[in-house]
Amino acid sequence: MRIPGLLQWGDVAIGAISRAAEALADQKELAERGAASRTRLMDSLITAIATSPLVERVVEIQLDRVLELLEREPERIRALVRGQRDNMVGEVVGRVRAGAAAGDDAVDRLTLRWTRNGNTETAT
Amino acid sequence: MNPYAGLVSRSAAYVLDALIVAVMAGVATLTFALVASVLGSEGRELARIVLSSFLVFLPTLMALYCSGFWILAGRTPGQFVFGLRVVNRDGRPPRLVAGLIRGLLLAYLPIVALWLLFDRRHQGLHDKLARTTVVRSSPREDEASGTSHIAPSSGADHGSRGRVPTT
Repeated sequence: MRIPGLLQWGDVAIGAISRAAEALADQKELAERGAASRTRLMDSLITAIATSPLVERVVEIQLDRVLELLEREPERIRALVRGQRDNMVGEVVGRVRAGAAAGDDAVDRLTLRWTRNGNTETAT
Repeated sequence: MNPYAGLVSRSAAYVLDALIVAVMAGVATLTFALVASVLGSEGRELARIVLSSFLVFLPTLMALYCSGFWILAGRTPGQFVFGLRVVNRDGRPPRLVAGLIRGLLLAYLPIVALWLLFDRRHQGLHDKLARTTVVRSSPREDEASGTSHIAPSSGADHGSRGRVPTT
């Protein structure tokens, strides 16, 4: 009686562990489903807010103000664009120059080696 | 970094200039040929002569283009891209005669430039004759378009290559 009782308790324990594992797996699946629903909900909420007439009106007013500002002071945007362009050109030119200088150094080393070899051969 | 420009930089700048000249001369010649072909048989004959002599006169155009830029600005557009500058013994752009000698020699006898490989200050034979040298210019110099303080040697100093401190 004693040994079967113990075995029974062992089976109960294994069954409990198995059920807990299933519950955990279910919980994970539920969490994933919940997260997907939340994302969908947030997306639809954001879309609803962004396309609402009130927000559209606010954006329109702000856009008008920005455009007006740019019209009044075009130098600001021009300076920005110019600065960006100059930076890009400067970077490209810098790379080209650095590459050419590295090539010069390589040719220098090569010719130096040739001339040194020539000198030592003449000396011997 | 060596303040005197080496073979790669100078060759690349010269190739860039040659491309500019070739494209400009090609466009001009084609335009001239098109206009002349409309004018009649005499115009067509003239266009044929111009087109056939185009390749012969290309080095002359190149020499004039380079000399003009060297004398006026101390650098060609190609040299501007690679940050190079042609200077005489005073550190200034070459004078008329020196610029012309340099340009013609380089255009018709480019092999003389190879002497720069064995020269301490990277001077080719055309540089020796025109008493000029090609130096690297810093971005500040590019903006200010000032003169360089590196004075080239006029004497024969080949055979003793190496780094030269800027003076």
